[in-house]
Amino acid sequence: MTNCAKPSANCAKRLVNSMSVSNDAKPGVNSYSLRDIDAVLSAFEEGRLTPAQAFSLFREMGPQFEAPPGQGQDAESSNASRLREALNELDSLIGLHSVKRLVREILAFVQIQKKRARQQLATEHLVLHMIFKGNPGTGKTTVARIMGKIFRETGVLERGHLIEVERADLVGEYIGHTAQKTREQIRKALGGILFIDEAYSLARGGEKDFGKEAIDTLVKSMEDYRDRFILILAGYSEEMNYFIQTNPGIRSRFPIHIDFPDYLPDELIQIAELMLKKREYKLDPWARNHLYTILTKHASNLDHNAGNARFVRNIIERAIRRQAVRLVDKENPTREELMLIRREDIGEGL
Amino acid sequence: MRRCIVLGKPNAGKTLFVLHFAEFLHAKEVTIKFQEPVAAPRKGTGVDPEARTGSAACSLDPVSGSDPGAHGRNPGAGFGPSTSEHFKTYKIQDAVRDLTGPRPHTTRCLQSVVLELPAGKGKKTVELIDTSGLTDGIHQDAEIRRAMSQTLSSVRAAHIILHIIDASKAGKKGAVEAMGDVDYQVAAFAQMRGGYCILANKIDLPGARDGVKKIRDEFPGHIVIPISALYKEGFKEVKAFVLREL
Repeated sequence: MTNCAKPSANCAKRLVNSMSVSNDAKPGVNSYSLRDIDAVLSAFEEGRLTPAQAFSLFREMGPQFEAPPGQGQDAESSNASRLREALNELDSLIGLHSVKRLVREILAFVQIQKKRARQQLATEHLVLHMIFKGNPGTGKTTVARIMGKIFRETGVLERGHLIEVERADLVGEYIGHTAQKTREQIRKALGGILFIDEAYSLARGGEKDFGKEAIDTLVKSMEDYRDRFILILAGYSEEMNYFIQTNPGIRSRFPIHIDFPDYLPDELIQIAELMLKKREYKLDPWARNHLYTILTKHASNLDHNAGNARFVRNIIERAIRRQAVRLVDKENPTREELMLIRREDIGEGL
Repeated sequence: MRRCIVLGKPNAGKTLFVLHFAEFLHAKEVTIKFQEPVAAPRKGTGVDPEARTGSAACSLDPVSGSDPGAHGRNPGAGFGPSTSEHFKTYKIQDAVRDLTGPRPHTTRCLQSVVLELPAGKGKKTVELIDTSGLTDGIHQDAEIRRAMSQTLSSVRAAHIILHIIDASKAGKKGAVEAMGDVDYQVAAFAQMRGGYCILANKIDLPGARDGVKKIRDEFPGHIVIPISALYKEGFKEVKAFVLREL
C-alpha cells in the first residue's frame, strides 16, 4: 500500500518527479513527464500512485478534453454554422416573405421547446407535418429542402434528407400493393422529410381508386412514426383546398399550412437577374423592359404559369441559347458581348 | 458518438446501473464491448516487464470471451493503454447474473454498451462505459491496477461522467464502498470539466437517506441524483441529465 500517509497532489508530484528523474536523468524531462498522461498511468499500474493521486495529477494537467481519435471536437460549432448557412440560403430566396416568417416561427418554437424541456416545463409535442399550397414554380420544393437542413441542425430530424414522391410512387397496381409501396417510401424518408407533390391526386379517381389506400397508410404511419419523419403535402391551392375539405382527417393532422403566393413581375425580374448573375450574364435595359412586358402580360392572362420562377428560368435559358446562336458566327466577340443578353435574344417568351 | 463513463468505488453498483439503465431505455438485449487491458510496456516510462506478464484476460467473461479468434479481436484499438476488444450479446437478466456480484472488483475491464435515447424527432446514441472500481489505496493486484488504469485513461476522453457513490455506506468508515479520497478527487477533477453528476446509489437500503444527505453536504455545487440501480429508481432523472449533456 502507499507509503504516503496523507495522499495529496504534492505527494503524487514528488512520486512522479522522482520516478522520471531516476529513469532518464535529464532535467528538462521532469516537467514533461508530469504532464504526460502515459507516465501517470504507468506509475499507477506499477503501484506507485493511488487513484486519488492520479486524479489530482489529471487536474493539474488542465481541463482540456481529449477527444478520442477520429472524433471532431467542434461538432457543435459546425452545427451552428451549418444552421446559419441554411438560414442564409432561405433568406437569399426572392420574395416568399410569409414563408420565411413562418420558418423562423417554427425554428423559434423548436428552440424554446428545447429550453423549456431543460427547465422541466411542460412541452408541446412537436407536430410539424405541413401542407404547402401554391402554383408550380413558387418554391415549394426548394423551401422543403432548406427546411430539412434546418431541422437536422436543430436536432429535430436525424438526417434531414428530402424524399420527393408523386402519386405514381405511392399507388400500386393491385389491391394491397399500394400500402406496400407507400410504406416503402415512408421507410426511405425516416429521419427526414417525405414530400408528396400534387398530393390532391391521391383523392382523385373516385371510390375504387387505390389513392385512398395510400392516404390511409400515410395517416397510419404519421401516428406510428410520429417522431421519425415530417410529411409535407404539396399542390396547387384550389386542388389542395378541395382535397383537405374532402378528407377531414387530413386537416387536423397537419397543423402548419403554408401558402406560396405567385411571384410578382418585379420579383420575377429579380429572380431572372439573380439567375443570370450566377451564370455570369447580364440583361441590357431593353431586354429587361421586354422581359417585364412578357411577365406582366402573362400575369394579366391569369395563366397558371404567371408567377412561376421555372417559367422565368426557361425564358432565361432559351435567351442564353439564342445569344449563343447570335454570336457564334462573329469573330472575336468581346467579353462584354459574351455577357450581354439583348432584346432579340429574349424573343416573345416561350 | 458521445461517451458517458460510469465510475466510482468498487461494489458501488456501477455494472448493475449500466445494465438496468439499458433495460430502462427499452433494450432487451445488450451487446457489450469488452476492452481488456493488454500488458505492453509503454516506451520511455521504465516499466519493469516482469510486473506486466500476468494474464490480462477479463475474468468476467465466463462463457466464450476467452476464444480470441471467434470475436474478431482488435488489438490496439480503443484509447489509452493498449487493449484488445471483443463483443458479446447478452439478455439483460443473463448479463446481470454473469457480470455483477456482491464482491468488489467483479468488473475488471472496460465494458461498454451503446444506448439510444430519444431526442427530437429521432434518436441519439451514447456509449455508456462501465469501468473497474477505483480504490482509495494502491491495490496489491497488478491486474486490478491495470483495470483501474484503463478507467483513468478513459475518464479523460469521456464527455459525461456519472460518478456512483454507495449512499448506504456513505458515512461508514472502513468499508471498501465508503466515500474516500478518490471520490473527492474525482469530484474536484470533474468540477472543471462539466458533464458530471453524482448518483447516490442503493437508496433502497436502510440508512441510505442519511447517506444521500451526507453526500449532498460533502459535494456542494454538484448535482446529486438518488437512485436505486437494483429497483431502477431515479432513472428518469439520470436520463434527463444525460440527454441534456448530449
